[in-house]
Amino acid sequence: MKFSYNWLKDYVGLKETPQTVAEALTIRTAEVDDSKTTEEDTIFDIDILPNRGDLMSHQGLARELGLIFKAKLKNIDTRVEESDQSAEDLLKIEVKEKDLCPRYATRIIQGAKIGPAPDWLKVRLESVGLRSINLVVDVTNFVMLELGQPLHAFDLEKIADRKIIVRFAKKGERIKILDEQKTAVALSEEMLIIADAKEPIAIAGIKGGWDTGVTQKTQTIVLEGAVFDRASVRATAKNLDLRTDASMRFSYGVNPDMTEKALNRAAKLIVELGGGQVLRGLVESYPAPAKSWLVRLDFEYFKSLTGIDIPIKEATGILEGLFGSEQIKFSDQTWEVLVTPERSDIQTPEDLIEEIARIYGYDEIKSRPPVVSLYQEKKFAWQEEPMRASLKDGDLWDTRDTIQATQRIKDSLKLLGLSEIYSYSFISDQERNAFRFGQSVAVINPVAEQYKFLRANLLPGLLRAALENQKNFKEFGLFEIGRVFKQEGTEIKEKRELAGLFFSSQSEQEVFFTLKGYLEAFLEQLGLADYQFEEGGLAPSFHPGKHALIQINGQSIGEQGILNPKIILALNIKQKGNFALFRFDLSRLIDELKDEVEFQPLSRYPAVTRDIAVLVDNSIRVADILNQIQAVDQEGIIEDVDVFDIFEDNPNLEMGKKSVAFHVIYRSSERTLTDVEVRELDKEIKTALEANLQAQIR
Amino acid sequence: MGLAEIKNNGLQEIAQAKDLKALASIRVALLGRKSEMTRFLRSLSQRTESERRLAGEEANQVKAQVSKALEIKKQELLEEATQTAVASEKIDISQPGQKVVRGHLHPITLVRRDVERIFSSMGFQSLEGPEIETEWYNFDALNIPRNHPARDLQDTFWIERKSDSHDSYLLRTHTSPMQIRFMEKHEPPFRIISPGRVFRNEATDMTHEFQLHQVEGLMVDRDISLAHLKGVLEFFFSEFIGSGTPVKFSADYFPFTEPSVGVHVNWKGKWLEVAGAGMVNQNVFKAVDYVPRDWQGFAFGMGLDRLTMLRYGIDDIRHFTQGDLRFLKQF
Repeated sequence: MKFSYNWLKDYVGLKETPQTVAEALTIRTAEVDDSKTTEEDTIFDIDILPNRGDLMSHQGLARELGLIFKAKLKNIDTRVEESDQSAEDLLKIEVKEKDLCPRYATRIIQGAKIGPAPDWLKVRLESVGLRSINLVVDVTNFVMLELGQPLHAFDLEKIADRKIIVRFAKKGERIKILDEQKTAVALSEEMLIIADAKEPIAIAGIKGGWDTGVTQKTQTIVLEGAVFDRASVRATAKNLDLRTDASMRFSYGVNPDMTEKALNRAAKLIVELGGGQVLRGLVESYPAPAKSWLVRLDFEYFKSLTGIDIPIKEATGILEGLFGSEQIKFSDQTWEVLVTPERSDIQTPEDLIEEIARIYGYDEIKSRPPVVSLYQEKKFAWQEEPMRASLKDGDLWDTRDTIQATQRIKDSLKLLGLSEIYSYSFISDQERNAFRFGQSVAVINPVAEQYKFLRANLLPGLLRAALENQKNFKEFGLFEIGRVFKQEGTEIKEKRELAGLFFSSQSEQEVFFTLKGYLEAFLEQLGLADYQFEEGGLAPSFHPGKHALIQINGQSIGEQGILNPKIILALNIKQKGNFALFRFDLSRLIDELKDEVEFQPLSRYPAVTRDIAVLVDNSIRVADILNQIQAVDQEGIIEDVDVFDIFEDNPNLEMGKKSVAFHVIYRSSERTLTDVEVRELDKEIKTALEANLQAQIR
Repeated sequence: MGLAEIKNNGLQEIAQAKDLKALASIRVALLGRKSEMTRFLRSLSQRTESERRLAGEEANQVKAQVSKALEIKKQELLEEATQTAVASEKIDISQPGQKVVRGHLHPITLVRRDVERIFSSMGFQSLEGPEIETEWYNFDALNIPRNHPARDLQDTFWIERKSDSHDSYLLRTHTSPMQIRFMEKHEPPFRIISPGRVFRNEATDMTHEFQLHQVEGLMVDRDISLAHLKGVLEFFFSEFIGSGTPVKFSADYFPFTEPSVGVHVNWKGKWLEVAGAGMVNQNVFKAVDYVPRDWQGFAFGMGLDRLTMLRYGIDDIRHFTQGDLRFLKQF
C-alpha cells in the first residue's frame, strides 16, 4: 500500500527523514518495499502485514510512527454541523445478515455542489496513485486513505423506495458496477450485497453499482460507512476477481469504532468544500456495538518468551502509547490491557509480547548460544515402514537413517559419473498416456495444462532432461531421487523413488550393458553384492525384450531397461543416441542397506587362472553358463568367473552360434591348490557345458 | 690361462665396460659356462685332491672379486644411466590429462546437506514428511483458517479426489505441516529440522518457481525464547556464510508464530531477508493437544532455493528444474 510522507506529517510531528522512517518501519512494523522521492514528497510502498488492518490508513501509520519516534500526534477534526432535519425521515435501513455486517451506517447530505475537488485534495489522492473524479468520490477516497474506513456515496433519489437492504444476492441477480466499462457482474447466492427495494445497488465491501452512483445532478447524497465480515468480503472479491481498495481493507479488518468518525469527517469535508447541509443523525444498524476486551500479560512471561530484559517502566510506556494510558493497569507484575476494537489482532498475551518487543526493538535481544552438551539427543521411535504409509495414516516418514542412506546413495552415483537432476513433480497428459501411468493423481488448478498430473515415476522427467542435454553432450548419466504419486482406488500413495539413465552414441546393447555395469558397481559399493538381474518384460515403460528386474534375496527392488519404443513414438522423440534407464523403489533399497558390510579375510594362498572359450547357441544366456560352472564347484574354490569376450553373428562362426570366453579363477582360503585338482575341475566344467548346454569347447 | 690372468683381464674389461648391456656380456664371458674360469675349474679334475682344494679356494676368491667388481660397475653404470635420463628426458605436461567422467550433485542437495550438517551439530534431528498434505496439516492446524488473508500469500495447488471424502488434499505450500505431524506424536523437549519440496501455484520467472525447497526448524522446551532462536540462527549463519555474520530480526507476521519475526543476514555487505521465524503460537500447541503455555518453542522456515542462489550467485531460479548439464556440471 502506498503512503505519502507529507500526508503522514499531517497527523504526526515527524522530524525524521523519509529514509529513517523507511528503515524504522521495515524493522519494527512492516517492510517498506520501495520509496520514491520527488521534489515535493516521498511515496512509500509498504507491505502491510495481514494482521495489521489498523495500519491501512495514513492516520493509523502516523500513530505507529508516533510510537516509534516518540512524536506527538495531531488531531483530526471530525466535528460536523447538522441541520434540523432528521436523516431517518429520508432513508430506511434493514440488515438481514447481521453476522456478516455488524455495522451499517449512513449520513445524508443535501444540496452540495458536486464539482471538481480542490487541488490540495487532488494532490493527496494522486500522490498515492488514485484518480480524481468529483468532489464526493474524492472525499470518500480521501477519508478511506486517511482513516481506513472505506466509504461509498449513493444518490438517494435513485434508491428504490429509499430503502437499503443488506442481504445475500439472489440467484440470477446481476449488477452493473461503477467502473469505466459499467461491467455487468453476475452474483451468486453466497455473496453479500447492498440492495434497494428492487435490486442490488452495491457488492458489499467491494464495489458500488453504476445506476445509484453520485453524479453532478445528485441532490441528496447517502454516505455509506459499514463493516463487513473479512472472510466474506475476501471470498467474494476472490470469486469475482475484483480486488479493490475497499475489499482489501475489509479483508484486513475494519474498526467499527471508526465508522462514525469517518462519516462525520467526510460529511464535514463535502459541506466545507461543496456547500449544502448535513442532516441530523446517522441512519444505521449497529445492534451489538463493539466492546473492548481485557488481555493480561505477566512480566515474567514476557521475559521468558523474548529473552529481552526491558525495564518495566519502558514496557508500560509502550503499552500506553499503543492503547492509551487509561487502558493500562499494572499490578503484581502483571499488565491488564483493555484493548479496543481497532486492534482486533491483539487477543493473547503473546500478541502483547510482540507489540512490546518490536517497538522496543528486536535488536535488544541478546542471543543465547545453544548449549548442545546439555541436551540429551533423543532417538525418536518411528513406524516400522514409515515411507510406505499412505497419507491417511498421517505418519512421519523419514528418519535420520533414511536421510543418511539417501546421501550415501547419491554419493555412490556421483562417483560413477552420474549427475543429479531435480525435475518438476508435474507431468502432462501426453506423458502420462505415453508412460501408461493409468489412474494418476491430478491437480485441480494446474499452473499450466502441461503440468496437470503428478508423476507416477521419475522417468518422464529424466527423459525430458536427457532430450535437452543430447543437444550439447554425446554421453552422460543422470539420476534423480524424488517423490512419486499413485492413485490406488480412492487412496493416494506417495513413495520415494530413485531413477536414472545413461545416454550415449554407442549401440543400444552397449548402452544397456554400460548402465548395467554402473548399477553393478553401485550395488557393490553399497554392500549389496547378492543382487541378481532377472528377465523382466512386463513394465510398460520398458522394451519387453530389453528389460531386467534387479533382485535382492529374490525380491525385486528395481529394474533396468531400454525405453519402450511405443513411448518414443507417442512422444515423437528424436533421439541422437541411445538411452538405457533404471529405477529403484528407494525405501526397499534403503531397507536392504541396513545390513552392514561384512569383511572377508584375504586368502594367503595363490590363485590359479584357467581360460575357457565355448561355442554355444545364441539362445544360451551367459547366466546359464555361469550357473553350470557354479554347480560344478562343490567345494567353493572358484573365486570368480570373469567373462572377457563375447561375439556373435560373426562370419567365422556357425550361424546361430556365439562364442563366449572367460577366465575361471580358482583359490582356496585354506591351502595351495594343486595342478591336478584345478585340471580336474576345469575338465568337469567343460564336460558339464558340453553335456548340458551342447557347448563346443574351442 | 692362469687365475691371475683371468682376474686381471676380467677387472680390466669390467673397468672398460661402456654400458649395462656390455657389462652383461662381460659377466657371461667371465663367469658363464664357456668362460675361462669354467674352463680353469674343469681342468682341475686332473689334479690331486690337495691341489684341487687349493686352486678351488683361489678360484672362488677370484670369482668373488670379479663378481664384486661387476656389481660395483653395474651400480656405477645405473647411476650414470639415471643421470642421463633425468638430464635428457622431458614430457610436455601441458598436454591434457586423461578425461575422467565426473558426476555432480544438484546444488540444492549440496546446500541442504550443509544445512543438515550445521543443525545436526546443534542436536537438531532431520526428518521428512509427505508432499501431498491435507488442508488440516497445511493450514487449519497452523492457525490459518479458511478465508484468512494469509492463505492469499500461499497460492495452493489442490488435488483431485477420487472419493467423497471431505478433507481436501493439496500440495503442501510450506514445510510447516511437519511441525504438526511431529508434535502429534512426540512430547517436548525436542529440536528438529525438516527439509523438503513445497509448491506454490504461481507463474515462473527469474525469481519465482512453482516448486521450491524449504527447511523447517522447531525447538520446544519449557523455557525457550527469541534469544535462543537468535543464538541458533546466528550459529547457523556463521557456519553457513562465515564467522560473525550479523543476524537481525524485523517485525513480521505468520499465523503459526507469535511473536513473528523476519530474519535478515548481512551477506556481502547487503541485508537480505532469508527466513521467517517466531515463537510457536499457542493455538498450534492446542491443535496438537499440548496444554497451552506448558511449553514454549521457536519455529523457523528458510528457502533452500534462495540460500543456494545466494551461495553460488545463481541469477535464475529456473535453472534448478531444467536438468541442464551445462548448469549442473558447475557444482
